[in-house]
Amino acid sequence: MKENMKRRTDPVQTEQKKVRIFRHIILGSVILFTALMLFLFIRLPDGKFSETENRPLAGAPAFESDDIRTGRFMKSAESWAADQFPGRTGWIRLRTMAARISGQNRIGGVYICDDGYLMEEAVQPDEEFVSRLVQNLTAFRANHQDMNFYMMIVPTAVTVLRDKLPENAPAGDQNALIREFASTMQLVGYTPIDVGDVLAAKENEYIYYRTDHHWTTYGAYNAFRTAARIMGLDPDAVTYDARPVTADFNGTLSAKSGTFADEKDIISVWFPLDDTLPAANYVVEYVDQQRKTTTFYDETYLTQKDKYSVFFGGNHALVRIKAPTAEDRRLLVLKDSYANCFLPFLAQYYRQIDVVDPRYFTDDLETLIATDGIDEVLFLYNANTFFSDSSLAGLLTQ
Amino acid sequence: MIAASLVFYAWGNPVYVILLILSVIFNYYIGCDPDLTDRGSLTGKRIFVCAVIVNLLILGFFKYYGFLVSTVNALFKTNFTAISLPLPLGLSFFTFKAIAWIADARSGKINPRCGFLFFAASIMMFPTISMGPIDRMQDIVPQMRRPAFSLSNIEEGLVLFLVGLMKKVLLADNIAELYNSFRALPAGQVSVLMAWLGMAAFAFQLYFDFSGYSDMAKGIALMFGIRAGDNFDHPYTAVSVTDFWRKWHISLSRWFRDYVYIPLGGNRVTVGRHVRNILVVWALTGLWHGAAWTYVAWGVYYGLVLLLEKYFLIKILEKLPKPLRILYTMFIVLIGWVFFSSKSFAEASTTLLMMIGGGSHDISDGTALYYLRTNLLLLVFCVLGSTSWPYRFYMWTQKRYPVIAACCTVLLTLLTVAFMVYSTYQPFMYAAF
Repeated sequence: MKENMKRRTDPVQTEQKKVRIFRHIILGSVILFTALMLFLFIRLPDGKFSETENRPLAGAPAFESDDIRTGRFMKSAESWAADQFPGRTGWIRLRTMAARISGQNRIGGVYICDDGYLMEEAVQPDEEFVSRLVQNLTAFRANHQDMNFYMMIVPTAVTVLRDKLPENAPAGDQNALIREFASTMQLVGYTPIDVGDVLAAKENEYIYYRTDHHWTTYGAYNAFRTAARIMGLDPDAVTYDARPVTADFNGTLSAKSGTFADEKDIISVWFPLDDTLPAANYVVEYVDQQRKTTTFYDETYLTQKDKYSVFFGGNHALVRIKAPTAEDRRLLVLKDSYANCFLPFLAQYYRQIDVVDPRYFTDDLETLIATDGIDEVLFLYNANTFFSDSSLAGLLTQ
Repeated sequence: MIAASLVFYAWGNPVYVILLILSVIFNYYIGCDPDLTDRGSLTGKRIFVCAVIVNLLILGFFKYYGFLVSTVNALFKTNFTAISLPLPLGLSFFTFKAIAWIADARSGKINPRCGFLFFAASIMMFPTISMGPIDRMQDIVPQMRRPAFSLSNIEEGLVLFLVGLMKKVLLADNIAELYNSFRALPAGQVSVLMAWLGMAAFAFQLYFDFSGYSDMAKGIALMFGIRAGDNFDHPYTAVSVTDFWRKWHISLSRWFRDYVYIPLGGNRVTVGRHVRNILVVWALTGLWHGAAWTYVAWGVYYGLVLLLEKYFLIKILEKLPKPLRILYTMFIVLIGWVFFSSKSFAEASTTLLMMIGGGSHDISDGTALYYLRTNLLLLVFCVLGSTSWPYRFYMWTQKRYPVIAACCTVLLTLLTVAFMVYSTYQPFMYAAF
């Protein structure tokens, strides 16, 4: 009888014992993990800038009573802890891996595609945004009846290289969007430059970077040949020599997708073969930095993360490019960073090009047009910036 | 506990701490007022009614002022402007606890003189202040007096907390992306399959978010030696809508039963009055969830379904096999979530139209298949997670293979940390109610 009792109680006791073991391990691990993280968090110096994410990291917030009352201190403390979390990149890699295993192929708005391509999804603008843009562009055109207006909205990789996308990916169709917008603008006097087809014809060539949201110089050159014909320039007047300047470019999409792909891209810079051309004697004036140079390129960026900034050293509010051309044509370019590798091709044909990035430009555009004697305007954007950035519409209403 | 709760509360919006403290003092001393329990006298009644009104006014001012103004504007074509104040954290939960406390004090069910600090600590208890459960104070105050601090409670609470965190971070936040993708699609491009996928994603997001939070709240409370009540019991396995509401947000349903439905006479009245009682309770339940007519519609919808079940359907349901009953319940619940998730009736009716394939919506399309394929594993986890199997299996492995169970828990926790680092900060969605 006693034997029986013992046998019956035994399993319950061992079970309880095992649950205790389980719980001890959990508690121990959590304490150990927290202590380790805390130790690393305190001992490791705060990072100032994340190379992989290409942005400054949050530092420790100052303890001020005003900030506590408004809750700003707590917000800053949270972003500080998040940004300085030990092994941040490793954790993000782990999460990306898990998401990939679970079947996801769009991470952080970036599709992971065939052939090592990463592509940002297409922006779908809302009607209000588009109608404001149309309205302001129309008014801007009406103010300058005697000038030529060109509009070149470039589809990004997600549209041109759609065959490389995961099956059925709902990536949207930028070409339809661009063409619908262009036909609206054509009615009010803009000349559209449609490069969708010429890029699509080159879809198997290296026209977009694999790890970055920009187009390659080769992609830009193909678009330029189409643009030149429409703008009345002779694309065959100049022949180029493409020189790779780095083969170690790991672009923004690699961090944005959290894949930190090992894939590297090649950046090429195209120089005219004939250096007696006017463009060989151009001057580039960076108005915001009050600096003049004789090159479009800033090689210091080749050793940094942000290597696409080798073109003009990134984006500036206003850049003036002057060249001693025979014809006196003066162009205003309103643009995003897609223009940066495109502009050197245009420089051969214009006495002066004013390059304005509406995201940074705060001066009066009309004054600039008047004082610099502008007679042509080119809008050069990629579809994602064009249909999401409100600063262009903002600049035109001033 | 009071200090921790105050810091927790101040973290989001420090100014409202003053409101919280004043409200606690007010409610405690009203509860202790000897006249309150005097059922015969008019003063007792007056004090009680006043106290309830004061509590409701505070809630009404912060939560329903804008709603009221816009409704008046719409009805009378007037043009009052509403000042919009951020909603104090957990005000709906807090107010309901306070009203229950005063009501119980009046009916003499409890002894309100429990010590101000214990009362304050109980009602402000930081794990449960923002999203419940809406525990009865008489369940918490005695525990607060003698908290059962012990290693085993700390460990049990910790495991509960981690499980809740996993539900929230690994399931709710990820399935939320599917729902957001669905909402981001232009209405003309949604197939029937996509609409159902989207609403299923919303249902899972809401459940794992809220039940994950409840687990975390219970876990933290337990680490302080206090056992908070249950809030969920696998509601998506319910076999009828009546059953669903026994398993979904249990503490809220209980509150409405005890402090609205039964005082109105409950079901021991004529059929007509019973119908009225049910509809009042459910309209209020809807309104509690948010200051908009869509929430009221959602509540009344449940009221009607519950009446239908009670008087007609339950007899038919009882004859059906269990899987069919679960399917029926989930169908009703998903339709309910359409109203719950929509900002307007127009949006709700568009969504409903998509789900039945009205207009020119296809049955299925590439987009729907893409989302189904990329979320399949996650959906399978969500379906399994809605049943009690994973919990029972987890308990079983703990008893048999504790080391394996612990290792899996630790690995999943590390994965959770990775997802948290990635998203950095994502507020709980239920906190706004």
